[in-house]
Amino acid sequence: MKLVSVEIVEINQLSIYLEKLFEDKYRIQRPLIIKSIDLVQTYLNHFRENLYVLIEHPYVDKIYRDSYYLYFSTKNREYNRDCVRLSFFNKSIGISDFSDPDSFDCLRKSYLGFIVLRPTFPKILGRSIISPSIVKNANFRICTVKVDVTVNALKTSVSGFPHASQDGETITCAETSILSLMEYFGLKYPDYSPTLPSKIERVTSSQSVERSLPTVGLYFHQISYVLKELGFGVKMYFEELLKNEFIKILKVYVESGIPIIIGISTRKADIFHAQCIIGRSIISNRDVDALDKPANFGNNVKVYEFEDLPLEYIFMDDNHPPYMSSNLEHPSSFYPPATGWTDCKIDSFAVPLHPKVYLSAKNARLFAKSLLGKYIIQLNILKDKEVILKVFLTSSRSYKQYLITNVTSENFYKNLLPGIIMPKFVWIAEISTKEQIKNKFVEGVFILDATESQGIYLIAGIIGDYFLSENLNEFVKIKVPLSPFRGYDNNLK
Amino acid sequence: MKKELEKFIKEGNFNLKIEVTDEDMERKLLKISRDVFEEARREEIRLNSLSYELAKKKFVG
Repeated sequence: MKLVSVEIVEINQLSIYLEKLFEDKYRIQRPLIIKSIDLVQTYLNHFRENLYVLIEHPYVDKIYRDSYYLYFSTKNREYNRDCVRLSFFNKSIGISDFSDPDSFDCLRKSYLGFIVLRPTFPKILGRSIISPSIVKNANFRICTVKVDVTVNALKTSVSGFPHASQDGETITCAETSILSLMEYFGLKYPDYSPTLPSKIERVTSSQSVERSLPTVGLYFHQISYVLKELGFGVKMYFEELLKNEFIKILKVYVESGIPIIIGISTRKADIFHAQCIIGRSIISNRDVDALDKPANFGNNVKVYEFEDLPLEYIFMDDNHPPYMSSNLEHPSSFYPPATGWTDCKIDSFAVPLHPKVYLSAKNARLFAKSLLGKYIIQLNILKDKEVILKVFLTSSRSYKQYLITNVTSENFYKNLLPGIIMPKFVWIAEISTKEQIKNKFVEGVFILDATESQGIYLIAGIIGDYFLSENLNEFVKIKVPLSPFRGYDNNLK
Repeated sequence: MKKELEKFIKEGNFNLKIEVTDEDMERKLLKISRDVFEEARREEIRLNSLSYELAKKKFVG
């Protein structure tokens, strides 16, 4: 009979413990152990201090086991099939707590997620789901999913974004990004399932004229193809085609709570790297005040674009710990200088949209701006004001729930809005002043049909004391005075 | 759309009414939307036809 070995150490003692564990269980050479532990240490340096780590071995990780039977088990060199799992807690815990029901609540509250270490030395950092609160600077809002986990037989859960690093043989950055993304969607929505390296290999090899193992990365169209085959209505965007609009469109999707896969590159150092963007820094008053150069929409109405806010974005990069932040103009600012990486620019991104979202972010922005400009002139509204236009996608279910709890000061809206027939997804354009957005308020909104591909369909507009609606044939205007109301705030957590 | 809203306002006893927009103005407003849409559609087709070549970049990490 074999037993799972369980040990608890303080985070600053983890390296010492792992060194011994790797020597005992995997019998590998010391230089390789040191290289592997250095890699783990880069993660730990990104985390807060005063954490406690529960170490379990052997641990069966679904992704590594899949890679093992797909590839590593077929090699002459012997690979172990078992992993190590590190579980993190923000309080001092003991092994005896796991057999004391009175301690279960405390264990669950202090649990911060896990990292799997796979025996692919030195690239040992496998799948992880870590609470964002574990990192030193958690001043951000991201897409998160709640995941059920069993730690030393105790059922608990953690909210975070899945992360992994490449083993370099069955998965590179491209496959890793797909794995993270699919784990997020698969655990969050019933429409999708988490995937495995063997599935990605099957999908890509069906379209490839060459072997796919050992992997040498994926073309961008292959990344898009895999996502499409896994159930998404993917849209690809390229900097070369969209120029200045490229980053703004990317920001609109992030604001929509959709994690996206980006491609960064620099010819100078021959770097071509894929990773995910999953959120952004929290908006400060200073960020809002920094907005300048508004466009004049007529009637002396100045319009700023929300996408011009100087925010940092949150990256899930398989060469780094989870939740790295950087601005989008310099997406590799967290890489060491003089490595060539810092010259990288985002040149492409793929958005895993729900297949029924037919209206793209590019056109949603365009249509929102066009409606705003048209009504400013024709209805003589917002005169002499400076406003910010923010565009994002959301589900009509979440949006209706928000509407009935926030735009309730006027009975007409309270009764009308929940009853309006909407598609599963709607594009929202919120209009607010600088002061309103600082206080999370808006004074106008357009709700656009995300399934309309034959024209602009304004399901409902609330702006300048008017209710508006416009489809392909009809325009409706009703005077309904309304005070500013809370903006929608549910896409990023 | 107009009829449904009129009915909604009447049945809910809201002290509101749909403002009359003269036909020329309504036609003008809808034409602006149609023109913007048509231009966006042409641009989308143009970008889509150029995307394929650009997607041939390999990402290796």
